[in-house]
Amino acid sequence: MSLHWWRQSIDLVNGSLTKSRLISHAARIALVYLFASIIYIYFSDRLVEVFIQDPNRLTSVQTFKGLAFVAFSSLLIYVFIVRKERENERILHDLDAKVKERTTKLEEAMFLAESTSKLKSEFLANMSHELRTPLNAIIGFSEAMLSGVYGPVNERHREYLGDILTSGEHLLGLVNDILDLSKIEAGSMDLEQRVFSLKELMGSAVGMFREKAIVHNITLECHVEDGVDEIVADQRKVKQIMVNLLSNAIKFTSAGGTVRLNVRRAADTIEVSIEDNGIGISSSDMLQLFQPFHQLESPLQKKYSGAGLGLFLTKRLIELQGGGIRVESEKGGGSIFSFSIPIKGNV
Amino acid sequence: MGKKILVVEDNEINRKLFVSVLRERGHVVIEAANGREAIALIVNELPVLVLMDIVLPDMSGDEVLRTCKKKGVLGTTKVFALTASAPSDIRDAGFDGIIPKPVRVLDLLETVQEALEVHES
Repeated sequence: MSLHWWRQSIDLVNGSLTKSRLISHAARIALVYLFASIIYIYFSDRLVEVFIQDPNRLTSVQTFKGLAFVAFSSLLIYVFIVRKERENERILHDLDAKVKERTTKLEEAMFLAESTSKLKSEFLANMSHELRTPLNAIIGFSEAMLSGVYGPVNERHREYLGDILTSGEHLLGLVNDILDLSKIEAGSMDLEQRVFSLKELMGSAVGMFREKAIVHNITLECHVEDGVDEIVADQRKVKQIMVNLLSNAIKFTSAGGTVRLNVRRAADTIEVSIEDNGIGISSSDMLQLFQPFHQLESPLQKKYSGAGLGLFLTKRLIELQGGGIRVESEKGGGSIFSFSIPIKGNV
Repeated sequence: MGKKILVVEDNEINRKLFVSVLRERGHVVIEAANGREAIALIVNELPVLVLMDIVLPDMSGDEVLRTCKKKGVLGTTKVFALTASAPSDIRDAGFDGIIPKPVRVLDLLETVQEALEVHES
């Protein structure tokens, strides 16, 4: 009964090890039994014959001797098995203690990790709030004065107020990007997936750049295939991705150029491509394109400002939603940035 | 007697910004720097519109809203949240609207105008 029990419980903990232990144990018992039997059979009759000469008595002694051997060897096997059983119980007990100890340690580690990540998230939320608060005054006052809320401003003041506003907005963009990235890295960026019209979102994203395109004499085309409409994704993040990619495309395209947005539906994904015929990217730069804080070669860096966070963040935002991004480009031959995201959200 | 707008904001400079642009547009503005003052002004001055910062020194804007609702002192008063939290951190706590900071002044003035017109009709 108890033998059966420990077999089962040990088997549960470590099947193969226990089986081989059992087999070797059984083999040892059999071997000892075999050896003892041979010696006994070989020598016992001779020994008895030395002491007993009366043939009648000899027969009865020999019968008794056989019974005694069976009894004795049974006892021996029983002792062997009991000893082994105890040993196995001890092993099982040790194993149990070890499992308990490790579980406690694991629980402690998990608790620590959870509280650290919670602290990180709280710090980021707090930081975000602290950085935005002074920007509220910088952007708010310059915008209010610029739009004449406090009365007329002269041309020179207007220009400088515009500079304060643009710089404030630039700083806000950087703060938002850095905080978003930190959140993604800390694993505390939540996806708010819901159904929305991708077609409408594309329209409004392109709409944001119409004026800029006209000012820079760039043709901005938008082609959304039939069958692209509602998807499940994080609307705000998809918008952010589109704004980043479109603003890059326009930034690196010179006057007279074209930026073309294509949106089409594949089986379970939406494929978006943003094509420009701007300055393009050399193959050596392509490798570092999606690295954080990376800006392409220095002459470009002087002409086109930026912190080099945009593409890295864009890539992370796409990956977060279960998609991927790739780029085809040639120096001087324009670039195509294509990404895909699942239609039914990242599950 | 113009309709009163209550601005609840603990940061002095930001309070100055909100109050000044609203006054320039001819609104009657009263101000509070913390939750306790805000509740007292809502009870005693019956503002038509409240623009409330969420992070206040003594209690959160959410709590101020909850307290006022529980006391039943809001009546037809509309309460808008002014929040400097990242858009992804904003959770709706039952405000009539959420205005993210940094505030776009022209949008703010438009939102206020709309809220007052709704109140009038």
